[in-house]
Amino acid sequence: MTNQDILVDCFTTALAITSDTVTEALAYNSIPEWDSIAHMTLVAELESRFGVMMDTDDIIDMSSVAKAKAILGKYGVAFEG
Amino acid sequence: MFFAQLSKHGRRLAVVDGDRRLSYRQLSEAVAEFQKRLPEERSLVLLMTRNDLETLVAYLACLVAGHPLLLVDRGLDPQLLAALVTRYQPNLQVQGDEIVPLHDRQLPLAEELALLLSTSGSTGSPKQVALSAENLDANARSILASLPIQACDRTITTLPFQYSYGLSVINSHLLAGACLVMNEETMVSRRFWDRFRELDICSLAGVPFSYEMLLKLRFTQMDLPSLRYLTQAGGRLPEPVVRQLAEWAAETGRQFFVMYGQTEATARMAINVQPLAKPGAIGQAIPDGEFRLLSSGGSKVDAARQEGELIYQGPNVMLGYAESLADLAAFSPPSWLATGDLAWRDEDGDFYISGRLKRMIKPFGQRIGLDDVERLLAERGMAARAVGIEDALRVAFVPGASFSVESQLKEWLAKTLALHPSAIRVRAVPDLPVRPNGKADYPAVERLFDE
Repeated sequence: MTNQDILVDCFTTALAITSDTVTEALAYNSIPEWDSIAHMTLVAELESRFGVMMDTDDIIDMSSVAKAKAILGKYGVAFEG
Repeated sequence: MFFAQLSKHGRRLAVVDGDRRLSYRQLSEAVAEFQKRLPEERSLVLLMTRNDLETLVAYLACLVAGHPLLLVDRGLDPQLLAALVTRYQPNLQVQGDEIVPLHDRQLPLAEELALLLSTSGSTGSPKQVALSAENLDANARSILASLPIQACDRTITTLPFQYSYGLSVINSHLLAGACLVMNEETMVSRRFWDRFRELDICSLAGVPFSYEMLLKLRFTQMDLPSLRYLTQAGGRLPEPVVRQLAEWAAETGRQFFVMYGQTEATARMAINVQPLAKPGAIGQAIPDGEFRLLSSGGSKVDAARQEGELIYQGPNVMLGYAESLADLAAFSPPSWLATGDLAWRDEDGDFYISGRLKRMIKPFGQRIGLDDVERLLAERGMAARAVGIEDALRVAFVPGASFSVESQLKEWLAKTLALHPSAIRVRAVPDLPVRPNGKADYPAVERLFDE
């Protein structure tokens, strides 16, 4: 599994959405499934799958899929392309 | 009454909503203006709530004018809303600044009725808790006497407007002449914290889930110099979390209060002022309130450390329940409120909740009646039984026309109840477990979810 696959997996599990919905542009609060409760589930999922521990600022700034990748990048998680 | 004396706080800042800032005098004027747009005849008003200035003004104007209010969150499922409208036939629907007249028939509304709050919001439960203006005022006064709310304080809304705990934060701050920052952002948003710092917020109110979220955000590491105290209610916060927050409060010179309440008591009934020493306690009744414990036989339990059903008496105890319009004509308030919780008392008189008699769960602080879930499914022709296991919803159902597979029902429940799917599990069964007397066998339903 690539990091991209794991990322998509985290989103589909935490937000209970299908993988085709997980685009770069998908943003917090833009769909009913990505609310504050799902957000915290998502953070927990990303932290456990990638073995990282995010700061407060990163948690509250993680407002889209693209942003999540950029933030995970800071913790050494690389995404191809 | 707190809502009738807004202007006495004069030029003090009352409300902030976005760029708008209103003093108590200006708020009082806005309320009077809105009141002029309401009918002369006493009317039942359906108020579609959000945490904004418009909702606050409409709410206060109806209280001042004596129009009973039915509060419904603006996000409620449209079908569930339509069912509520059919059942209670409100005269007007208010949303934002807009007043939509629905009909002008005179409804049978008891004189003392001021407010209807749902017992199980997101299920659109027809069952409402009926409250009087005295209930609201009395609870606001008791809360003000229990908490260090100061007139110069500012708080920010973190709970839904129509949720009794959220509303009690609003009422008690208006009584104190303190400032309310109306906010719809959640605590995981950057804008919430920017606002918090920019406006020097002094206090936060949260349900157990809010605090779990705050700790996950490493809240105790955040630099929040204006924050003086925290309150928690709306369900049991695990003891280690209470201890962690109480220790943080003690170390940083802040205060943390664990409270206990329910909508049937307007909002709050008890306060634990020493969560560090007694992290598992709900504390003692608020001023003007009193607790008792009843044995299963109905006699009073006087001894310490003996379990009984917790009952409560005070001026904040509701007028009663309503299930339809006809119930709004007259009320006979209970002298003691049966909380539905089992509790015991220690030698100091502090109470501890030990179990629950009522069929309800509180996932993420959201109260969901299990019978309401069964009702929703029955309305769709489904035979189903709902149970709660550690505040998560478990539904056993017989596949039928509306829902034939588990995933379909789970998805529908999550959407309709606005509940995160992680708190829902469903199981398709050929028959629902029944006891020999034909009644639902809930322990057997729970066992369906073992492993």
